[in-house]
Parts: sequence; C-alpha cells; structure tokens
Amino acid sequence: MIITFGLVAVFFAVIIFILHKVKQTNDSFTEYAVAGRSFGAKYQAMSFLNTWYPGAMFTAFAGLAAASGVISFYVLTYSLLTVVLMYVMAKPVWVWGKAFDLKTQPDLLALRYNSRHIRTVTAVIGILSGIPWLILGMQALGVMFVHLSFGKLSFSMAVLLGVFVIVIRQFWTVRLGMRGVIISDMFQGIVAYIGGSLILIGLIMWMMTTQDITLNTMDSGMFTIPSIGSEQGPLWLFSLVLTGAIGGWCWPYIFVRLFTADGVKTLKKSAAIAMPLSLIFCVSLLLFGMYASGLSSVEGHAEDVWFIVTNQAGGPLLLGLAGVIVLAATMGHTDGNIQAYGAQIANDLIGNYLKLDPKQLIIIAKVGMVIITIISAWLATMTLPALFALAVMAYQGIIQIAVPQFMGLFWKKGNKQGAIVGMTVGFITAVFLEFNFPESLPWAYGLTSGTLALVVNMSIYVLFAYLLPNDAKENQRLDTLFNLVHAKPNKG
Amino acid sequence: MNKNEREMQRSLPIFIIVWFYLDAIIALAPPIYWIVNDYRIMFIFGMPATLFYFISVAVCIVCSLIAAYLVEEKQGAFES
Repeated sequence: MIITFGLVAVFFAVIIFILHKVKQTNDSFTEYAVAGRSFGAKYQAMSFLNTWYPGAMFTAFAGLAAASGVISFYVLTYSLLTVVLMYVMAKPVWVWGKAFDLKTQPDLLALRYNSRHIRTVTAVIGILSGIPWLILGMQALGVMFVHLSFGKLSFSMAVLLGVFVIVIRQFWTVRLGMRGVIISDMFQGIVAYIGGSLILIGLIMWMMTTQDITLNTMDSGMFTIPSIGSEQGPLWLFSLVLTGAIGGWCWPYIFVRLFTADGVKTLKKSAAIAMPLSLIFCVSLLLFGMYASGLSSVEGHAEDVWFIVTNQAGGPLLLGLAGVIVLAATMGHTDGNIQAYGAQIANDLIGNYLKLDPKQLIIIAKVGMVIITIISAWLATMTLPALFALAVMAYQGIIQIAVPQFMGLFWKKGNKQGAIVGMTVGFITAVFLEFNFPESLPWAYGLTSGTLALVVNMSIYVLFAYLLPNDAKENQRLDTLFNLVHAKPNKG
Repeated sequence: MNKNEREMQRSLPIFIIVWFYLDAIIALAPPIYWIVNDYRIMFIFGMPATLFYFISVAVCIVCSLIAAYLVEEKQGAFES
C-alpha cells in the first residue's frame, strides 16, 4: 500500500509543482477562459487527448473489450473520425473566434445566429449533460483507490478519498483557468497515453508469452459485430460511431480547445500529432482488454481488468503506476470539464444578461467552478443507481447541438429559429426516447435515441431555413461573416 | 449553396476531400460491417476479419488526416 499510494502522491506533487510554475500573461477574461489563444501544436494535441480520453477508458472501455470483444473498437473509430471533423471546421471556428474574441461554444452559436438566447440554451444543455460525467470521473477514482489499497479501503471511503484528491486539484484549476489546465494536460497526457501505451503493450506481450493467450484462443463471440438479426439491431454500430464522432465537438470542454490554439495551422498540426498517438493508445488498450479476457482472474470483473492484470503481472509497483495513469487521465478530463463550465456560467449565463467587466467575469467563473465542483463532489459520494444511464442519456442529448453547430459553419440558410427550436425539440426527443428505450430503439433497427432525435432536429432546422428565410440585412451580415473566413489564410 | 460556401468547403485539395468521405463511408456504412461480420472467423494478416476491419479503418483515417496536413503545408496553405 505504501508503494501504490506513494507513487500516486509523488505524481500529485509533480503536478502541483508544475502548476506553481504557471504564470498568467494578463488578467483579461480571454486569458482566463482560452489562455489568450497562445498554445502551439504539441500542447494542443496533448490537451485534446487528455480531455478526450478520461480515466474511465481504463475501466469502462477496457472492461467492454474484455467482456464483449471487438465491438469495443467503435470508440477508436469515432475518436479518429471526430479529429477529421476538427480538421474540417478548424478554419471557420478559429478565424471567427479570433476576429470576434469568442471564448466559448455558445459564443460561436450566438455570433453565427445573431441570437442572445441560443447562448443560454446551448450553455444549459452543455452544463446539464456534463455533470453526470464529472460524477462518474470522481467515482472512477474511488474504484482506483479500492484497488490501490488492496481492498483495505471500503468503496465509500475510497470514493471520498477520490473526491478529496480531485477537489484539492481544482484549487489550481480555479486559480489559473485554462492556462493551468493546458500546461498540466501536457504532463498528465504524457503519463496517461504515452506511459500508458508502453505499459499496455508490455502487458499484451506478457499475456502472449507467459499466459499463452492469442487471438486464436479467444472465443469467436469476441469478434462479433452486431449485424442483421442481432439483439442490438443492424444499425447499432452505425449509431454509436456517428453519435460519438459528431458528439465529440458538442462537449463544451472539447470545443473550447479550438479557441486555445495560436492559429489554424496549429490546430491542423495538432490533429496530425494527436492521431497516431490516439491510434496507438486506443488499439493497445482495446487489444489489452481482449487478451485479458483469457485470464481466469478477470472473469466476472471486466471493469477491474486494468488493475487486476497490472497487479498480477507486476505486483504493487505496476499497480501503483496503473493508478497514476488513471489519475492522470481523470484529472485532465475533470479539470477541462470544470474549467469550461465555469467559463460558460460567467460568459453565457450570467454575462449574457448582465453587463460585466473582465474582472467580474473571472470572479463569477471561479465561483461557478467552485459550485460545480462542490455539487459534483457531493453527488459522487451518494449512491446513484441510475447515474450511468443518466450519463448515456446526456450524450444522446448533447449531440443535438451538432445540427446548428456544424450546419451553421457551412450553410448560410440556417436561422436562429430553426437552431433553437430544432435543438430544444431534439434534446427533449432524445431524453424521452432514451427513457423509454434505453441503449437502442428496437423498432428503428437499433438506432440510438440521439440519432433519431438528430433526424428530427435537422428536419426542423432545414424546414425553418426555408419557411422563415433570413432577411436581406441578416444575409448581408452572414456574407460578411463567411467572407471573413474565405479571405483569411490558414495561418490566421 | 453559393460560391463562397462551396469554396469554404473546398479549401482542401479534392483528393483529400474524397479521402475524408471515404473514411466516413468505410467507418459508417452498415453493409460493410455486416459483410465483414459474416467472415469474422476468417483470419487476415493474423487477425480475425472484424478486428482487421476496425484497424484498417483506423489506419485509413489517420493516414488521410496526416496526408491532408502535409499536402496543405506543401501547397503553402498556411502562409499569410
């Protein structure tokens, strides 16, 4: 226990040391919310990865690979496709962000649709959808501490400890804003995904050479993709990949990464850097899970596979490193989440209706972050049986932002009425369907609730675009906006 | 869709746009993974067909994006 907890303590101390060295360049809200649009490609790439892949990858997705096999690879497909989307939208988003000093995702939608209220709707959907994932992240640390204590800590005590660690860490998130988040993401990302990949590859080799587990020895059911006649339905995989890919950029903490880069070239270069890292990490993790399914110790404990196998292969030292890796991934995700929501509370909710100076905005953002942290920490210590279902439902809901977001970037006809009504009806439809048909819709060949709601959402958006066409003044404003992107070089 | 909107979408070379569409098709089109699933016990390059499918799709997407960046950089798209 001294070794495992000691390693975690050393890692935490290094993070705090790094954060103490961070200096903000000025006291503007742009510096606090998007770090003054100053980061280069390597920081951008690692920041994206550290926010994209939470600690739950090592529990939920490694567990899915161990329990269900190759279907878990859908996470790899959508994680890569979403970066392609980023590449395509990098230019308009960054150029408008720089030209109009945009700091949040609702800022962009408010600019594109010339609407104040769309800012509120988007921020509310974003914050409501994100909280279940914050709670899950905190609870995942509880699972980690149960294993690091070799079962000596009860689950409730371990969750309390996890919440305590993550709450302490938020002191620096609140104090330093986005700059602190991105700089710590670099170190956390190297530990979680480069260090993590090396350990994963080592563990796969260990299972192949000492445990005689190969792809040939696995049950053929591990290689099944839900197809025609399957329980989930033939369109289930399509739905998972589609919602994952387009949903990625609907999360406020992911979207804000587009505003922290110092130019369009940086964003595109960061995508090219992140892709191979993402490929190696994700393939290693999922193959690890599949190979580990051959170990008798993993049977019936798929979600604990990461901790079981590291302990079995390398004892307390490797188990401690496994804990450090999960903590590094969880911190990156949680910090980004809390920072983005704080900025939205100040900029898009309170700042949307009150005139505030930058100092007041920063104070409100900090208070917002503290409130979000306290609420999530409090909920994380409670027994919430439907939490995971709520988190899945949140995903189906938040992807409704995709319609006004992506169509608004490339199609001028869309208007604010269609965007607001479509997004709201889409969100309600997704929640209603998810309540009644969790996981997938059997009467829609396995489509998920969010995918069907997207169709409704998009139909409304297009319908309004033709029924209520923009007037001449609005068309002129949009022409100017779109011409700005076309006129700008990629360099920004 | 007017000229500006079309040009905004076409800031990338045509073959890269086609490659991006191909990424989306092979990753999303249900008939492709239905067929692959029918051959799941067949091994290709030492791995079952379904695993080979997912890894091939991933490699194709990664290559397309790296190619896009290299081509744009070579064409001077990032110069002011």
